[in-house]
Amino acid sequence: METLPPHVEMCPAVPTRSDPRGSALTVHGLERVLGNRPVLRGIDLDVPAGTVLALLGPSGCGKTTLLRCIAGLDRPDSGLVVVDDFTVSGPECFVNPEKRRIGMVFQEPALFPNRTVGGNVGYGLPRAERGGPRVERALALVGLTGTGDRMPSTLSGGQQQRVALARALAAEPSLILLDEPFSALDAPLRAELRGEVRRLLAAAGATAVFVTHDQEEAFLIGDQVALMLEGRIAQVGTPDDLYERPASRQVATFVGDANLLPAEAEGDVALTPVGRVPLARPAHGRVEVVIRPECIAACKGGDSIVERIEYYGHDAVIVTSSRGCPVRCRVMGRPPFDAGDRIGLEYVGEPSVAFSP
Amino acid sequence: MNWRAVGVTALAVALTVPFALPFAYLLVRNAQDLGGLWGALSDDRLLGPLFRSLLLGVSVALGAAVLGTLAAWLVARTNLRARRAWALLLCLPLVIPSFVGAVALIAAFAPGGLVEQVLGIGWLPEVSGFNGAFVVLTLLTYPYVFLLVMARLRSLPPSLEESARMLGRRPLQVFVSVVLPQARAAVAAGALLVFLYVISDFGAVQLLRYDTLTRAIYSDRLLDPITSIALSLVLGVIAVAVVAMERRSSRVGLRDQSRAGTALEVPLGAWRAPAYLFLVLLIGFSLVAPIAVLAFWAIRGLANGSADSASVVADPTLIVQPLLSTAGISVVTALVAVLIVLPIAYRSVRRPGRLGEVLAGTVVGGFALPGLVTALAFVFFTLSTPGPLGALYQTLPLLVLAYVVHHGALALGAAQSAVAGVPARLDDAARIMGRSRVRRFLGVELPLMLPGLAAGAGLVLLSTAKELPATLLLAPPGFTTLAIEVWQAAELAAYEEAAIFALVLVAISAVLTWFLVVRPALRSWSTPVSGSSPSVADSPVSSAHPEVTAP
Repeated sequence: METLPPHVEMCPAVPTRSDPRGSALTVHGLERVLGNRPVLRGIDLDVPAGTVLALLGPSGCGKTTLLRCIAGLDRPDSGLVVVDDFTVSGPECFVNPEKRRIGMVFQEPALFPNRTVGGNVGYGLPRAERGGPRVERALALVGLTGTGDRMPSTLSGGQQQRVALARALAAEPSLILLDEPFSALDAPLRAELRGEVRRLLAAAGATAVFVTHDQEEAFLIGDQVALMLEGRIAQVGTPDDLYERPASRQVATFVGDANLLPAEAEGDVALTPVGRVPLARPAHGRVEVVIRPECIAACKGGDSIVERIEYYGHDAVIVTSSRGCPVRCRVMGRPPFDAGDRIGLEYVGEPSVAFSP
Repeated sequence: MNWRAVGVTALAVALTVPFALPFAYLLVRNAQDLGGLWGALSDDRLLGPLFRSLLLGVSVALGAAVLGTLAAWLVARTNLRARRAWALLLCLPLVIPSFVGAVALIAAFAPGGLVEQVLGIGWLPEVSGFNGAFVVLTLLTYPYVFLLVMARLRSLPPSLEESARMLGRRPLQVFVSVVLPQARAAVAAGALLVFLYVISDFGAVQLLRYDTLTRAIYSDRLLDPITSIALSLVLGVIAVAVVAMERRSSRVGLRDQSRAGTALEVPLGAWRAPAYLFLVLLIGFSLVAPIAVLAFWAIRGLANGSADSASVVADPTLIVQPLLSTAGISVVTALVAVLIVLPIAYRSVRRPGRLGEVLAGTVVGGFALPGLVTALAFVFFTLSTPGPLGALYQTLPLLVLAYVVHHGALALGAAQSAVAGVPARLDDAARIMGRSRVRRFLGVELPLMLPGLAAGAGLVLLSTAKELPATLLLAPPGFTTLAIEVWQAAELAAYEEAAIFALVLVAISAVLTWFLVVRPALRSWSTPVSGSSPSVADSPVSSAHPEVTAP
């Protein structure tokens, strides 16, 4: 059982470097060991005010631990957490979660079953405002006007999660943390809420960290996406940074489908089994080039043989090989080929990236 | 028509009849003599004891609720060290029967006792009456509340409290506004169990001379049987109503919202020292002090010897006879109880419905009726019935029957879980392979049920070993158990003897409680509680503590 740190009172504001954009959250050098296992290994993050950071990673990569350290529900072993220019967690100080002005939405709605929906939303407000317009406004924001008097158990799972979001937003926190808030919902509802949460967070001008293991969700919700692998941040950037300019081979393979093809680089172009591929960063000698399956066009007649077709309906993947390398090539709709056909491959995408093998 | 099913049903119904017998007898006897009932009800002989029973019951229930809830919160939610060890120690007062607790209190303050001799306090306060009974019963019953609240806190999803903290509330506010409302049903259920324990208690109030209903029933039984029977009915009705309430309230409990995980620990800060002090005092007074007092008397008695050669102090081998009697009668009772309740459990689980509920409810009703009342009903019933039934009075078979009626529900709860734990599909599978009904039962179902049935038998064993009033009223002349020996020695103010027998009884009770109650509870705490797994709070009368018995 992990023990939480001894109680430390709110420490005075520690001045931090002033950032012109105004960072709502800065994490620096955060480390956390649970048992004997290092879970966070030097995390650095910076979330500008009013933006949403999606924290993406496979289960067990430490993303929930990071979120709990930011929230104050867990105490990091070293490193800084700075919220709105206040150091809330550092070597000499640890601010209790109730004093951090951070909102949090959990995997399950975690609504107080003995309180009405309105009572739940008003829970974090000053006593005088608990029955007032702020509660109604927060409910209206999530599209649940008029449900204030109902008990949480009478709402559906999706509605309960919306109430949880309204509860976190109502207190107008500096920062909102969402820990895989849709994972308990079924797929269509998840898709619907995704779009809605994106709109809501933007409308509220909220700064948010959204934890998910679902790449699509991360791309749709995050202004920035931070990919976390084995306790480290592997890359931070916009969704297309991560997809088109992955910082490492691991990032390239975790985010989306990728062919890693051996190639001979000559400056800003590489010779690959699918022909010449432009490079975003110049390279030389033997490399591996990341080639997304949809960046390869296939035509009848050539030196590749179709092994099989994976047909998904709206698109299909042609599994083939070119000069001994397995290649996956994605086309819209059903391709006019069958297993055994000979096809030619051609690179049609933007400049790509190469890593030394 | 399926004749085998009819057979099981008929058997289950027939076996349930004895459980209804004491209450039915009280009803019939009182109905035959409405004038006597009315006279007793409209008289101070009822109102005084009734008031005192209720006053003591409510006071102890409140006291136990406060102590038990606070202790549970400290152990389940704060950053105290060695919380598992505290949890274990806090359960242990369960092993001390109420009359042993009362003996310890009286012996401590008796002339020549621990308080006078060791602490050197010359002025000895009066420990009898309400205050004494309140202190003894509160200290011995808070574990019922503690266990239930503990189980509830363990099943609460941590995100509830974490949400409240994130929304800006301090730990104490979170406890009041989130934790307490969620634990309310568990606190109430625990308090009801304690209330039932107290109004059913005979040993402690009799020794401490506080005139409650049980004491009036006992003292009137020879000279004024009409009043005694009328008061028995009143007490029986209250007890059965309390159990009915308890069963209903425990059913309303909220379903878990999610997996339970490790809850957030509340840092106690400056409150750490007072918290430790509270736990030390609680365990000190409820567990260490009674045992220390008894050990003090026992050791002094054994060292000084006695002029009376018939005393256990002079001849420690005299402990053997009551020890064997206690063990023998308890084992027989446990086996008979399991045999009797198994068909009832089988019928009520495999064919759920109105009849099954009535059968199980009747068995639980037998449990709800205070041991003293059950025993007294059997006394009057056999004495007023001529022929072979009358000849049963003060024989071992009748004693065993009374025990079974009173403690059978403990075995029933365990047997029902055991039956429910065997998937009906298994029987279908064996059937398709062509096994006969009897072979399917003996070869497939029974072996799977055995651990559960053994646990049920163990609970009956434990309660029977500690049982006082039924043994007092129904034991054949010359048949003594440890409980009887403690009782007789205490009434003669022979505290050395009482202490020796009491310590042996507590030791036996401790070993059984460890294996049957504490270890399973600790095991269920160490694994995360999932929504479906049976928690400590699902047993017989609903609740953690089945073995609420009139001690």
